[in-house]
Amino acid sequence: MSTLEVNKITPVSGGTTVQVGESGDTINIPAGATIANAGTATGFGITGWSSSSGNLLPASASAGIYLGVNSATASKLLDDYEEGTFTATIVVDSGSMTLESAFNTGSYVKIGNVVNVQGFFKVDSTNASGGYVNVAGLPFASAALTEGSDYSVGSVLVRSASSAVGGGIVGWIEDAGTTQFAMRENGTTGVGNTLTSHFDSGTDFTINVTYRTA
Amino acid sequence: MTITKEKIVEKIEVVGEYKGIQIATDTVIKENGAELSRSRHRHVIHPDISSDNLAKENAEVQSIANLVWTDAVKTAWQEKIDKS
Repeated sequence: MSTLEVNKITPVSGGTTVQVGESGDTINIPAGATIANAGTATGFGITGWSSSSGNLLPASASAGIYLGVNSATASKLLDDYEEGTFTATIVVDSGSMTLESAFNTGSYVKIGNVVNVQGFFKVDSTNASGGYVNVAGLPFASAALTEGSDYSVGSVLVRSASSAVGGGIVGWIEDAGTTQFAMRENGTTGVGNTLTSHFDSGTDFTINVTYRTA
Repeated sequence: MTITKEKIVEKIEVVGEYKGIQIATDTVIKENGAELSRSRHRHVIHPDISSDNLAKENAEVQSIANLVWTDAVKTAWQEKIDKS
């Protein structure tokens, strides 16, 4: 093997391209060597991707990365990330309940088809006469999955309730298509639709739930 | 130096059996036309939305809603709500 020792390779006069090797050749970079790129690298067998401020950027908004496989498999594709806010409202069995406008915004992070929402909310007024209290306005509709696998529960902290809730409270993503976080009294012999009477003006609650979306 | 703030409906998605319409609205802050920041707010509308509230949505959202929310979809959604 012969060795070529130069500091710089440039195109011939009038040219703009330097070619190394021919089609079918292998260019070896030995272990321990580094290719430093301060310009723009294209090709390398990947099309439809570029760099934006050092971040990998797909040309298509629906493109992602297959993880843990070496062939295209839909269930192994990570193709979305998003963070943002949503405006919560309250849905009650009968009557109405409103939130203070300064405490009705929640936040979310979506990774793939998994959504996590969280937020602190405060009741402004209520004339609800009984039944359930649901937080509506979640940023994504829940997915339709096999049997009950689209259900999920989340945490709820309630303060300044008008009366104590004996069994504690959990939040529920019930079934497919919903954008409501249904708060229920836990451990009752019924369905737990008993919270309205415990919520009053000034009652605040913090929620966190993770669920699947389409 | 001109600072502007605009709201853009960035994404409209129709999802699932009940044709929920997911709407992503971006608030974009620009300085002399160059984007400084962007934040996203989402909401979802369902077939039981009131006509008054639907009328407040973006015109494109209204058109999609009127297209995909057939009587069968509205009935299925109402039955789901009633079951809950």
